[in-house]
Amino acid sequence: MTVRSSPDPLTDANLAAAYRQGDERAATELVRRHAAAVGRFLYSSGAGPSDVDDLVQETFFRAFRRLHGWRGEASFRSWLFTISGNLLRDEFRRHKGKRMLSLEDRDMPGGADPHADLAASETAERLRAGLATLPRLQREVFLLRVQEGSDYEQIAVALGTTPGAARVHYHHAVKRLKELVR
Amino acid sequence: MTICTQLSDRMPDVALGRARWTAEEQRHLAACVDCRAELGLVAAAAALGQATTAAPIDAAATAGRVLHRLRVERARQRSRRRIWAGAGLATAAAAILAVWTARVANGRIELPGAPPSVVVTRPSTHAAGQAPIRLASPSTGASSADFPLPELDSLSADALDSVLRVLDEPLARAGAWKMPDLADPGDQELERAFTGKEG
Repeated sequence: MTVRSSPDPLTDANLAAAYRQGDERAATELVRRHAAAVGRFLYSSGAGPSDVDDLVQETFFRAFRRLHGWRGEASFRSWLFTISGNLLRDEFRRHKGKRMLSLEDRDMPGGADPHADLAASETAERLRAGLATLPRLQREVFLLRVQEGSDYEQIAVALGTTPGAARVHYHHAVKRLKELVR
Repeated sequence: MTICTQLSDRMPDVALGRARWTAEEQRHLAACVDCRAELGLVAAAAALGQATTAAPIDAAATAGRVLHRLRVERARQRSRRRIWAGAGLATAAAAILAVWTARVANGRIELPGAPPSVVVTRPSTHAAGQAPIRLASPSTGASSADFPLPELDSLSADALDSVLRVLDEPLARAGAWKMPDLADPGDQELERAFTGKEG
């Protein structure tokens, strides 16, 4: 791994290096930092709520097995998202195109305005369904931008594209989702 | 860049609370239906997965399961490597044994440590009266293997004998051909040198 460690012992790079030296607590800390974001990414990309936990576990398993593959140009989280995206693709192929998205899952969150909550829940479900229909690169660019706040330079490095192309993908995704969620 | 595009580029940062609208942008938002729809979409996407519809991830339990799987996999890999190493050693030992005990047709090879024992044989169609030439040291008991030397087939028995006598002599006693001093050779000197080399 060519990632350079900084003096701060708690950077992702230092934690990854520590795990490669055998420190399992470093791996635990990396999971603690990024598991929720990976779960959100998987859920937003169309994974069923009951599958998210297993998919998060599999993402980190694959990541730690080939930690040497993270060269540090993109953030550790972005690299995890790439692994998650590949994992979802593999799962989709394994299920031979059956949609993984469960549209029946509509837990009613407790709130003062159940109608507003239901509307929000339905919007969220339509949004998830719409995201699942996007081409993979558009979906990942969109999620990295809106959920992680990554700029186009960071997205380009993480996904192996250019900042200009990332920007185009983002606007295409927005346009498509606006039509689907309307 | 239009103001709609400008707002579109900034919406994720505002939705995540990392930036704020300028006064001009706020006025535009109030007036632009498309931009408001997009902002709603971006805000919903940013919140996706954070709502109670998605079960929270138990990071500690996840880390424990991941590390356990990694340990099990490493143990399996170590076990596989030991098996392959053992198989490799067994194969190498079998190969060495096969080489040292091999009997090549019409030839013999020497084991290391045994005194020299070279056996030269002719092919089966040797000329009448010419028995196979065999050189052997006085040592006994050393296993050896025969090997053919077809280059010697064309030599007569006498010529073969003289070659073998040379081979018998230790190198230290072999008469080295002395290089004549060619620092300032005259024609006659060179003539003698070449004649001497040619025998």
